Amino acid sequence: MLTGKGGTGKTRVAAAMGLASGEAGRRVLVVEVDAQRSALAEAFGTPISDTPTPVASNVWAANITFKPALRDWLDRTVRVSRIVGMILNNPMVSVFLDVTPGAREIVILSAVVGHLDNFDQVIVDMPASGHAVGMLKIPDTAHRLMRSGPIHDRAGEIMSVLRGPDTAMGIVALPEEMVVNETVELFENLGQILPDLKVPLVFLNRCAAPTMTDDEHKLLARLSASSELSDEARELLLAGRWDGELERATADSLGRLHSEIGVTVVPFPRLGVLGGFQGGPVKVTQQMASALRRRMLTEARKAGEQ
Amino acid sequence: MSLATLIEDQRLIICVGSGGVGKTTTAAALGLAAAKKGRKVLVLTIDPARRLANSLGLRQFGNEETRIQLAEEIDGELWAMMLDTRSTFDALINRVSPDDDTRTRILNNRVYRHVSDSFGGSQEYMATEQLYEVVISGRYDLVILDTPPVKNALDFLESPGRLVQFLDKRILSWFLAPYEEKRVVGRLFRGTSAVVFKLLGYIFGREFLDELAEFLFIFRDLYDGFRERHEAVISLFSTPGTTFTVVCAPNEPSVAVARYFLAELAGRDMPCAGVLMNQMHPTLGHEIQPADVLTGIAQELSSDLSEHTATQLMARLGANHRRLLGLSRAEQALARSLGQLLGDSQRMWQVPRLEGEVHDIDALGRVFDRVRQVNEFPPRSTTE
Repeated sequence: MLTGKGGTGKTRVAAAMGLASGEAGRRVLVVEVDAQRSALAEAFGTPISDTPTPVASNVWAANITFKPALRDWLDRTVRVSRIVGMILNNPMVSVFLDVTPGAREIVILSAVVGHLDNFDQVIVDMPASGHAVGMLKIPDTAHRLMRSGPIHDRAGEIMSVLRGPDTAMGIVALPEEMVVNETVELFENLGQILPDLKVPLVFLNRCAAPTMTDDEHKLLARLSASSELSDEARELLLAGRWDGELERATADSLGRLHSEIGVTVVPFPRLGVLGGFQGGPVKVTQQMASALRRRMLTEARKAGEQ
Repeated sequence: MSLATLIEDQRLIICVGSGGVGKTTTAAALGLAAAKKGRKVLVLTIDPARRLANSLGLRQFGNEETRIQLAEEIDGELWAMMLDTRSTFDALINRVSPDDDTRTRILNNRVYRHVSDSFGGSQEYMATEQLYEVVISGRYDLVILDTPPVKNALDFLESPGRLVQFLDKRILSWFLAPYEEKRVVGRLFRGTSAVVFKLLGYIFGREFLDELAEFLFIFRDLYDGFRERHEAVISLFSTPGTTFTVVCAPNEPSVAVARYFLAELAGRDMPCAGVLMNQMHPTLGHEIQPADVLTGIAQELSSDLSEHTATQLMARLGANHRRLLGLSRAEQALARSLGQLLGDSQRMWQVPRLEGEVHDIDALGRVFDRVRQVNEFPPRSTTE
């Protein structure tokens, strides 16, 4: 599962992970949950639906929405198709399910967990931070509130998957102070609501490696402070300061994530001269997937040497 | 509508857009700008992550309206508030309960307790409630609402409907019929409904349905109160003085969400002032060679620094600027594509990116210093 502050590039990381993992030979499904407007479709450059659609070799994608997930859920729990049809076609029941708080989330999580039967790996592009935490609380609440019946049982199963050894949450962040604050807060919240859920990785998007020397920083500051600069000179210096700021913010963020939550940080470099626009969204996904794949291979080699 | 009109004349501004585009900062900056015009402003955020506090330099503020300290020469007032679902829900129950007994029974009902603080969606149910309360109270000249990212923001528009739908008498009486009959004649009703009801019991567990029924029995009498509230909230959205503002950043995913929002708001007949595009990288629009404009002065200022510093920095600045220029061109193309979707009365405001992060009042005050209102979006020329 992947979550993080909105706008950090969660969907892109989820898609890139899917491609990297598929290339490594695993059958992977990448899903987004209840998206009204599919962002995964954009990341993969192909339309997707509620049923897994192939998007690359070994890789499928789907947008898990409520109504199809409900049918899947009823098929799984009620099992008799005539009765499933009766429930789905009863207008009162459909309103009841639609408005019962939490029903939506539990049904969707159930569908996501259900896909584990058919794939080696399921990568979930979860909602943004606070909403992901809200969603992950629901199985436990439902398990306690509904003391018997299939929801009780299914909620229990979902919880054991969330707590299990093969499940992990990654947080996607950016090298910005506010985003790092929220990442730290989110990490702590997750620890409180699901202490058994592993959160081993933070993906830091749009990083700039610190290559500027101290002397260059000094000179840039001196130039910026000097009077009588032309508009052109000002703009050059602003471009320099913005990039310098990003280098510094990258170093600060890496340092804080390491010292405050101590997880492994996977940095993604800022891509292309156009800051990510070049070649369109699919190209960006592919570039990020290659970066992940290289890292996976390096890690595997290191593990082999030891 | 100009930015000045937005700030000076509106009574309720609802900021919508995807995450990470500076929506909270924009809400706070609009609030501060209005306070500078002498208005009393409340910025309300329903986002679970405590971002607003951060951008206002406050450590924490809760369900209470908290006044933000501004410079003395500012006549207006800036207040901020986070939505706390549980206490808003409790306050609502307090207000609509006909008597103490009903109130106590609701507040102690197990289903209510779970619904009010842990089930998804309650937050959005309560957001409108809180919004209505502060707008109608008349305590503020302007209320600015910062909504959560896209999916939930739409829930927020629909939420009064969802809550009231839950309490709709037809559904309630359908759901409660078996309980009513049990009470009256001591037997369950018959027919399809009975079968479906049994199934619901099977799905949710009978204990849950029983507790839910108790909860709904109590709530049933409150239906009229909720419905009136819902209608009032809906009418609030379409009152003159209310406007939605789409906030976005100049990148493809965020612009796609903005496009979606413009269409949704138009489809729902909700008033929308236009788009505020944050974090723009403005440029002079042409390539600049550092050697031509900076080398002399750079050599002069680097005499005490290590050799080649000036040369290295010039090369770096050239690369930095080419990146900026490319970025700026891509951003302008995106802005244009979005601008072409705007209606005659809608505007786009381009807000340049500031150096450093906005997390104090001073920086917040500078957000709109260099804002540019764009009214014309010529169609893309074929040479681009």
